Amino acid sequence: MSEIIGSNTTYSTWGVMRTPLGVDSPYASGTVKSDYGHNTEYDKGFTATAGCFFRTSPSYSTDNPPPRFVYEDYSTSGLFYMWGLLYDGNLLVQDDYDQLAGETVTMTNGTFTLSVDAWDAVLGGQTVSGGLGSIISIGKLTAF
Amino acid sequence: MSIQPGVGYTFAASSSGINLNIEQPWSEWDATKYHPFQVINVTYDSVGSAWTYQVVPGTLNNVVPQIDEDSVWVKLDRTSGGLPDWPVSVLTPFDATTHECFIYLRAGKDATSGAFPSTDDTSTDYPRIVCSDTALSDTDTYGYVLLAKATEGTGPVCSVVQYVTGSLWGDRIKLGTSTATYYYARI
Repeated sequence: MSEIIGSNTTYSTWGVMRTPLGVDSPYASGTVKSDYGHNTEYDKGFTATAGCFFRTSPSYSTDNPPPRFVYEDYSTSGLFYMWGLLYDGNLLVQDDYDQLAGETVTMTNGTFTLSVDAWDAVLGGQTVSGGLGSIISIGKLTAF
Repeated sequence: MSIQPGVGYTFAASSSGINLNIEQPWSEWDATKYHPFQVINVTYDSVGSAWTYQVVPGTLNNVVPQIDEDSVWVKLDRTSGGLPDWPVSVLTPFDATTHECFIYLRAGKDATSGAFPSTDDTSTDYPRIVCSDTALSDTDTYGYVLLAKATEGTGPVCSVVQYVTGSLWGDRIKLGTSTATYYYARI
Protein backbone atom coordinates (compact mmCIF):
# COMPACT_ATOMS: atom_id res chain seq x y z
CA MET A 1 0.00 0.00 0.00
CA SER A 2 1.44 3.28 -0.99
CA GLU A 3 1.80 6.30 1.25
CA ILE A 4 -0.04 9.46 0.26
CA ILE A 5 2.77 11.96 0.11
CA GLY A 6 1.85 15.46 1.12
CA SER A 7 -0.80 14.55 3.62
CA ASN A 8 -1.28 17.02 6.40
CA THR A 9 0.06 14.63 9.00
CA THR A 10 2.49 12.28 7.32
CA TYR A 11 5.47 12.32 5.00
CA SER A 12 6.51 15.07 2.68
CA THR A 13 9.14 14.56 0.03
CA TRP A 14 11.42 17.33 1.20
CA GLY A 15 11.36 17.97 4.91
CA VAL A 16 12.09 14.43 6.03
CA MET A 17 15.17 14.23 3.82
CA ARG A 18 16.90 17.23 5.37
CA THR A 19 18.07 17.86 8.90
CA PRO A 20 20.38 20.09 10.87
CA LEU A 21 22.97 18.50 13.15
CA GLY A 22 22.14 18.46 16.80
CA VAL A 23 24.48 18.95 19.73
CA ASP A 24 24.95 17.01 22.92
CA SER A 25 27.39 16.87 25.80
CA PRO A 26 27.46 15.82 29.43
CA TYR A 27 26.66 19.42 30.31
CA ALA A 28 23.79 20.13 27.99
CA SER A 29 20.76 18.19 26.95
CA GLY A 30 20.50 17.08 23.35
CA THR A 31 18.85 19.07 20.66
CA VAL A 32 15.10 19.06 21.04
CA LYS A 33 13.25 18.26 17.87
CA SER A 34 9.53 18.95 17.83
CA ASP A 35 7.78 17.35 14.90
CA TYR A 36 4.19 18.40 14.28
CA GLY A 37 3.58 17.19 10.75
CA HIS A 38 5.08 19.37 8.03
CA ASN A 39 6.34 21.60 10.82
CA THR A 40 9.62 20.77 12.53
CA GLU A 41 11.26 22.93 15.16
CA TYR A 42 14.80 22.47 16.54
CA ASP A 43 15.98 24.37 19.60
CA LYS A 44 19.73 24.35 18.86
CA GLY A 45 22.31 22.75 16.62
CA PHE A 46 24.26 23.32 13.44
CA THR A 47 23.49 23.83 9.78
CA ALA A 48 25.93 23.31 6.92
CA THR A 49 26.02 26.98 6.01
CA ALA A 50 23.47 29.42 7.29
CA GLY A 51 20.12 27.70 6.91
CA CYS A 52 21.38 24.80 4.74
CA PHE A 53 20.62 21.31 5.91
CA PHE A 54 22.29 17.94 5.79
CA ARG A 55 20.94 15.15 3.68
CA THR A 56 19.88 12.12 5.64
CA SER A 57 20.45 8.61 4.39
CA PRO A 58 17.45 6.42 3.60
CA SER A 59 18.05 4.46 6.80
CA TYR A 60 17.56 7.48 9.02
CA SER A 61 14.42 7.23 11.08
CA THR A 62 12.61 10.53 11.35
CA ASP A 63 11.18 9.38 14.66
CA ASN A 64 14.60 9.95 16.21
CA PRO A 65 16.23 13.20 17.25
CA PRO A 66 18.41 14.78 14.57
CA PRO A 67 21.84 13.23 14.00
CA ARG A 68 24.19 14.84 16.49
CA PHE A 69 27.71 14.74 17.82
CA VAL A 70 28.22 13.65 21.41
CA TYR A 71 31.26 14.19 23.63
CA GLU A 72 31.77 11.79 26.52
CA ASP A 73 34.34 12.83 29.08
CA TYR A 74 36.26 9.99 30.75
CA SER A 75 38.54 12.35 32.69
CA THR A 76 41.87 11.21 31.21
CA SER A 77 40.40 10.81 27.74
CA GLY A 78 37.21 11.49 25.86
CA LEU A 79 35.13 10.06 23.06
CA PHE A 80 33.57 12.13 20.28
CA TYR A 81 31.04 10.38 18.10
CA MET A 82 27.91 10.63 15.99
CA TRP A 83 25.04 9.59 18.23
CA GLY A 84 22.82 6.81 16.96
CA LEU A 85 25.27 5.61 14.34
CA LEU A 86 25.26 2.08 15.69
CA TYR A 87 21.49 1.92 15.48
CA ASP A 88 20.68 3.85 12.35
CA GLY A 89 23.66 3.05 10.13
CA ASN A 90 24.90 5.95 8.09
CA LEU A 91 22.85 8.89 9.27
CA LEU A 92 24.12 11.31 6.66
CA VAL A 93 25.04 10.81 3.04
CA GLN A 94 28.75 10.19 2.42
CA ASP A 95 29.28 13.55 0.70
CA ASP A 96 28.34 15.35 3.87
CA TYR A 97 30.64 13.19 6.00
CA ASP A 98 33.47 13.98 3.60
CA GLN A 99 32.84 17.67 4.16
CA LEU A 100 33.05 17.26 7.92
CA ALA A 101 36.35 15.34 8.04
CA GLY A 102 39.27 17.59 8.90
CA GLU A 103 37.17 20.37 10.39
CA THR A 104 38.23 21.87 13.72
CA VAL A 105 35.99 21.19 16.68
CA THR A 106 36.14 23.92 19.28
CA MET A 107 35.22 22.88 22.79
CA THR A 108 35.02 24.94 25.95
CA ASN A 109 38.51 23.83 27.01
CA GLY A 110 40.31 22.97 23.80
CA THR A 111 40.17 22.02 20.16
CA PHE A 112 40.76 18.97 18.01
CA THR A 113 40.49 17.95 14.36
CA LEU A 114 37.46 15.92 13.42
CA SER A 115 38.37 12.55 11.93
CA VAL A 116 36.36 9.88 10.16
CA ASP A 117 36.56 7.82 13.36
CA ALA A 118 33.78 9.99 14.78
CA TRP A 119 31.23 8.30 12.51
CA ASP A 120 32.89 4.89 12.29
CA ALA A 121 30.34 2.48 13.72
CA VAL A 122 33.00 -0.16 14.36
CA LEU A 123 35.35 2.09 16.31
CA GLY A 124 32.42 3.75 18.04
CA GLY A 125 33.92 7.21 17.91
CA GLN A 126 37.03 9.36 17.85
CA THR A 127 39.30 9.29 20.89
CA VAL A 128 40.09 12.81 22.07
CA SER A 129 41.30 14.50 25.25
CA GLY A 130 39.33 14.47 28.45
CA GLY A 131 37.97 17.55 30.15
CA LEU A 132 37.16 19.39 26.95
CA GLY A 133 33.76 20.58 28.12
CA SER A 134 30.96 21.47 25.75
CA ILE A 135 30.86 21.78 21.96
CA ILE A 136 31.17 25.41 20.90
CA SER A 137 31.66 25.20 17.14
CA ILE A 138 32.46 22.72 14.40
CA GLY A 139 34.58 24.16 11.58
CA LYS A 140 32.54 25.39 8.65
CA LEU A 141 29.21 24.66 10.29
CA THR A 142 26.89 27.44 11.44
CA ALA A 143 25.48 27.24 14.95
CA PHE A 144 21.94 28.25 15.75
CA MET B 1 -11.24 17.77 -50.95
CA SER B 2 -14.06 17.93 -48.45
CA ILE B 3 -14.43 19.85 -45.20
CA GLN B 4 -15.53 17.80 -42.20
CA PRO B 5 -17.20 19.16 -39.05
CA GLY B 6 -15.38 18.91 -35.74
CA VAL B 7 -16.47 18.95 -32.11
CA GLY B 8 -18.76 21.92 -31.62
CA TYR B 9 -18.84 22.84 -35.29
CA THR B 10 -21.24 21.88 -38.10
CA PHE B 11 -21.55 22.82 -41.73
CA ALA B 12 -24.81 23.45 -43.57
CA ALA B 13 -24.66 23.50 -47.36
CA SER B 14 -27.20 25.25 -49.55
CA SER B 15 -27.37 26.72 -53.01
CA SER B 16 -26.10 30.00 -51.48
CA GLY B 17 -22.95 28.44 -50.04
CA ILE B 18 -21.78 26.75 -46.87
CA ASN B 19 -22.58 27.99 -43.35
CA LEU B 20 -20.29 27.25 -40.39
CA ASN B 21 -22.16 26.96 -37.12
CA ILE B 22 -20.33 27.13 -33.80
CA GLU B 23 -22.71 25.33 -31.50
CA GLN B 24 -20.65 25.19 -28.32
CA PRO B 25 -19.34 28.63 -27.41
CA TRP B 26 -16.23 28.96 -25.26
CA SER B 27 -17.09 28.47 -21.62
CA GLU B 28 -15.61 30.55 -18.83
CA TRP B 29 -16.01 27.59 -16.50
CA ASP B 30 -14.13 24.95 -18.41
CA ALA B 31 -11.89 23.97 -15.54
CA THR B 32 -9.72 21.75 -17.72
CA LYS B 33 -7.93 24.71 -19.21
CA TYR B 34 -6.87 26.14 -15.86
CA HIS B 35 -4.20 25.12 -13.41
CA PRO B 36 -4.44 25.25 -9.61
CA PHE B 37 -3.91 28.70 -8.07
CA GLN B 38 -4.29 30.44 -11.41
CA VAL B 39 -5.58 33.98 -11.09
CA ILE B 40 -8.48 34.38 -13.52
CA ASN B 41 -11.34 36.63 -14.47
CA VAL B 42 -9.67 39.87 -13.44
CA THR B 43 -12.56 42.23 -14.14
CA TYR B 44 -13.08 45.92 -13.53
CA ASP B 45 -16.18 46.72 -11.52
CA SER B 46 -17.06 50.24 -12.58
CA VAL B 47 -19.68 50.53 -9.86
CA GLY B 48 -17.26 49.74 -7.09
CA SER B 49 -14.26 51.19 -8.96
CA ALA B 50 -12.31 48.06 -8.14
CA TRP B 51 -10.86 44.99 -9.77
CA THR B 52 -12.38 41.65 -8.91
CA TYR B 53 -10.72 38.29 -9.48
CA GLN B 54 -10.93 34.59 -8.80
CA VAL B 55 -8.33 31.96 -7.99
CA VAL B 56 -8.62 28.45 -9.39
CA PRO B 57 -8.90 25.89 -6.55
CA GLY B 58 -5.64 24.26 -5.49
CA THR B 59 -4.27 22.66 -2.36
CA LEU B 60 -1.49 23.20 0.16
CA ASN B 61 -0.71 19.86 1.83
CA ASN B 62 -4.11 18.70 0.65
CA VAL B 63 -5.87 21.64 2.30
CA VAL B 64 -7.99 23.91 0.08
CA PRO B 65 -7.33 27.57 0.93
CA GLN B 66 -9.88 30.29 1.47
CA ILE B 67 -10.38 33.68 -0.16
CA ASP B 68 -12.23 36.77 1.03
CA GLU B 69 -15.61 37.21 -0.61
CA ASP B 70 -17.63 40.12 0.77
CA SER B 71 -15.71 39.90 4.07
CA VAL B 72 -16.39 36.16 4.44
CA TRP B 73 -13.60 33.60 4.07
CA VAL B 74 -14.75 31.06 1.51
CA LYS B 75 -12.94 27.96 0.27
CA LEU B 76 -11.73 28.22 -3.31
CA ASP B 77 -13.57 25.09 -4.41
CA ARG B 78 -17.06 26.20 -3.44
CA THR B 79 -19.87 24.63 -5.42
CA SER B 80 -23.52 25.46 -5.79
CA GLY B 81 -26.04 22.90 -6.95
CA GLY B 82 -23.23 20.60 -7.95
CA LEU B 83 -21.58 23.18 -10.19
CA PRO B 84 -18.47 25.26 -9.57
CA ASP B 85 -19.25 28.47 -7.75
CA TRP B 86 -15.79 29.78 -7.13
CA PRO B 87 -15.76 32.86 -4.90
CA VAL B 88 -15.03 36.32 -6.28
CA SER B 89 -12.74 38.62 -4.35
CA VAL B 90 -11.55 42.21 -4.67
CA LEU B 91 -8.03 42.80 -5.91
CA THR B 92 -6.68 45.40 -3.51
CA PRO B 93 -4.57 47.26 -2.53
CA PHE B 94 -2.40 48.44 -5.44
CA ASP B 95 0.79 50.33 -4.73
CA ALA B 96 0.29 54.02 -5.53
CA THR B 97 3.61 54.27 -7.39
CA THR B 98 4.22 50.89 -9.00
CA HIS B 99 0.50 50.10 -9.38
CA GLU B 100 1.31 46.53 -8.36
CA CYS B 101 -0.70 44.16 -6.21
CA PHE B 102 0.90 40.96 -4.93
CA ILE B 103 -1.33 37.92 -4.57
CA TYR B 104 -0.07 35.51 -1.91
CA LEU B 105 -1.00 32.18 -0.42
CA ARG B 106 -0.58 32.71 3.32
CA ALA B 107 -0.51 29.85 5.84
CA GLY B 108 0.49 29.27 9.43
CA LYS B 109 0.91 26.35 11.79
CA ASP B 110 -2.08 24.97 13.61
CA ALA B 111 -2.46 26.52 17.05
CA THR B 112 -3.54 23.21 18.58
CA SER B 113 -1.73 20.43 16.76
CA GLY B 114 1.26 22.44 15.52
CA ALA B 115 0.87 20.95 12.04
CA PHE B 116 1.49 23.06 8.97
CA PRO B 117 -0.76 24.40 7.70
CA SER B 118 -3.60 24.84 10.12
CA THR B 119 -6.69 22.81 9.31
CA ASP B 120 -8.96 24.98 11.44
CA ASP B 121 -10.85 26.92 8.78
CA THR B 122 -12.01 29.47 11.34
CA SER B 123 -8.44 30.41 12.19
CA THR B 124 -6.27 33.06 10.53
CA ASP B 125 -3.58 30.37 10.37
CA TYR B 126 -5.68 28.41 7.85
CA PRO B 127 -4.34 28.81 4.29
CA ARG B 128 -5.78 31.96 2.75
CA ILE B 129 -5.31 34.02 -0.40
CA VAL B 130 -4.28 37.54 0.56
CA CYS B 131 -3.26 40.63 -1.40
CA SER B 132 -0.64 43.24 -0.60
CA ASP B 133 0.75 46.36 -2.24
CA THR B 134 4.23 45.38 -1.02
CA ALA B 135 6.27 42.18 -1.05
CA LEU B 136 5.72 40.23 2.16
CA SER B 137 8.31 38.36 4.22
CA ASP B 138 7.84 35.16 6.17
CA THR B 139 7.31 35.32 9.90
CA ASP B 140 7.06 32.68 12.61
CA THR B 141 3.30 33.05 12.32
CA TYR B 142 2.84 33.02 8.54
CA GLY B 143 4.60 31.73 5.47
CA TYR B 144 3.86 33.52 2.20
CA VAL B 145 4.22 32.13 -1.28
CA LEU B 146 3.69 34.54 -4.19
CA LEU B 147 1.06 33.14 -6.53
CA ALA B 148 0.85 36.06 -8.96
CA LYS B 149 1.33 39.78 -9.36
CA ALA B 150 -1.24 42.13 -10.88
CA THR B 151 -0.33 45.49 -12.38
CA GLU B 152 -2.95 48.13 -12.97
CA GLY B 153 -2.84 50.63 -15.81
CA THR B 154 -5.09 53.33 -17.14
CA GLY B 155 -8.01 52.39 -19.27
CA PRO B 156 -8.67 50.66 -16.96
CA VAL B 157 -6.47 47.68 -17.73
CA CYS B 158 -4.86 45.11 -15.50
CA SER B 159 -2.28 42.48 -16.35
CA VAL B 160 -1.36 39.43 -14.30
CA VAL B 161 1.93 37.58 -14.10
CA GLN B 162 1.44 34.07 -12.73
CA TYR B 163 4.24 32.51 -10.67
CA VAL B 164 2.74 29.37 -9.13
CA THR B 165 1.18 26.92 -11.54
CA GLY B 166 0.10 24.00 -9.38
CA SER B 167 -0.91 22.74 -5.98
CA LEU B 168 1.79 22.77 -3.33
CA TRP B 169 3.42 20.73 -0.62
CA GLY B 170 5.02 22.77 2.09
CA ASP B 171 7.24 22.30 5.11
CA ARG B 172 7.84 24.71 7.95
CA ILE B 173 11.22 24.39 9.62
CA LYS B 174 12.35 26.53 12.51
CA LEU B 175 15.92 26.58 13.77
CA GLY B 176 16.46 27.94 17.27
CA THR B 177 15.39 31.56 17.53
CA SER B 178 15.63 32.21 13.80
CA THR B 179 12.47 33.06 11.90
CA ALA B 180 10.81 29.92 10.59
CA THR B 181 11.49 29.06 6.98
CA TYR B 182 8.81 27.71 4.66
CA TYR B 183 9.71 25.38 1.82
CA TYR B 184 7.31 24.69 -1.02
CA ALA B 185 7.26 22.21 -3.85
CA ARG B 186 4.73 22.08 -6.64
CA ILE B 187 2.78 18.91 -7.25
